[in-house]
Amino acid sequence: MAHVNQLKTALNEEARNVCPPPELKSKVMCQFTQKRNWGMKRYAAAFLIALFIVPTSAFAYQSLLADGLYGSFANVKKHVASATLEGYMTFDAKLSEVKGEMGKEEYEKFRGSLSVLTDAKLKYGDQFGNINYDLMPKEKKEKMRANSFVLQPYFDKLNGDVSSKELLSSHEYKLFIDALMTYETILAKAEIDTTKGPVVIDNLPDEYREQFKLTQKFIHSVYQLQEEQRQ
Amino acid sequence: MDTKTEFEELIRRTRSGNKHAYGELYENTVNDVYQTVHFLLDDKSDVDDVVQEIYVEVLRNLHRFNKDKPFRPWLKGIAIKQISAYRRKRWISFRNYQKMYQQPSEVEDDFSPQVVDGLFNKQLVQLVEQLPYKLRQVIILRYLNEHSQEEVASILKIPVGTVKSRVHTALKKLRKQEELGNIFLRKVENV
Repeated sequence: MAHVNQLKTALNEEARNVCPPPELKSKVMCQFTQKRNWGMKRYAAAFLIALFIVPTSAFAYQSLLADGLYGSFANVKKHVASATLEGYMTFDAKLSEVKGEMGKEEYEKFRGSLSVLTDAKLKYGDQFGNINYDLMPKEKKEKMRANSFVLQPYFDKLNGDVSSKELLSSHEYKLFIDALMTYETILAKAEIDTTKGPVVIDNLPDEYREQFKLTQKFIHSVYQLQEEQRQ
Repeated sequence: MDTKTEFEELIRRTRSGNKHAYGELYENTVNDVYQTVHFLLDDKSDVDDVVQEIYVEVLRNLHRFNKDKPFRPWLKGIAIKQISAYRRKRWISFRNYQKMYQQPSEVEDDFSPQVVDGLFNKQLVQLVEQLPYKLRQVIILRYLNEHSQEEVASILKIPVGTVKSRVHTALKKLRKQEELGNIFLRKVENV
């Protein structure tokens, strides 16, 4: 036993002089940034591949991940008049990116939650894909709200942002999800075409303006926080 | 630091893309990892590169980490895997061949005049570094990193019985070498 103790002492004494050089940390942290960028490159590649394959090959079209959720682009088009093939492809490319980055189990979880949202979009969404949550049965609305709690961190990740769930306190996070739902509800009520760039507040009916401004301000403050974290 | 919960939190935040959390995860673990790599590599000038590779792998595999298990042994498993990959690469490279012939001079340097205790410790570490790699692995994990036998088994993906027998063989070899070393020391003193 004395021998083992001696060995431990000798190793620990030697180890005391073995320290990582400070510049190693910056190299390692650099990898972190690069890894995030790899994700972006993959996304760009997946998007380009999707664009090139789809018009020429019906077979490739069938294997789109987005079809697994929506059935097909034609199906989306039937429900959401403003949907574009480009938007659909972007969505599919995003799915490919997520699939590349997540483990199988995690992707399945994400896909499960996402399909709850896409089903709701097809069933309750207006012609621009926005849902008026006030028209939903109360139980269904709660379910959608709980689903958003799970989904939002994935969306943040896709946008290259720090997860809002990590960034905010649990109370703030709940407010943020509610704000996102309110935002969409107002847009649906006011029948705003959200495919044509940012929403202009003056185009909203008077009764929605104040509430919309407040909601938008809160959402933007969260985005700003995310932006700061990214830097 | 309350390691398990603290690591859990850092891992969760790192997974969600928080760079700061990843930095903390690095700070909290790097000494341990760096020392392990140092003792297991023959060419110390490559330690930095291997450690860097290890953290790239950690980042790449973090989503696979099972949070019900302790983090350090998992991390050490990745480290060992990277060290083995490095050794495989080196084994076939010509540089390795050259390094083998440079080693004796390094050994001699360490025999510079020092207090006998210090010299003895240094000599013991040298003996550890001269052990066959498989034996050196268990000695470093067990006695420097102080992992339990079960943890060493899971890190190296070998049965606990094999860990025990390797530790036993390693200690026996060290004792034998040490006896020879003591003879050498006595000889030096006599001169």
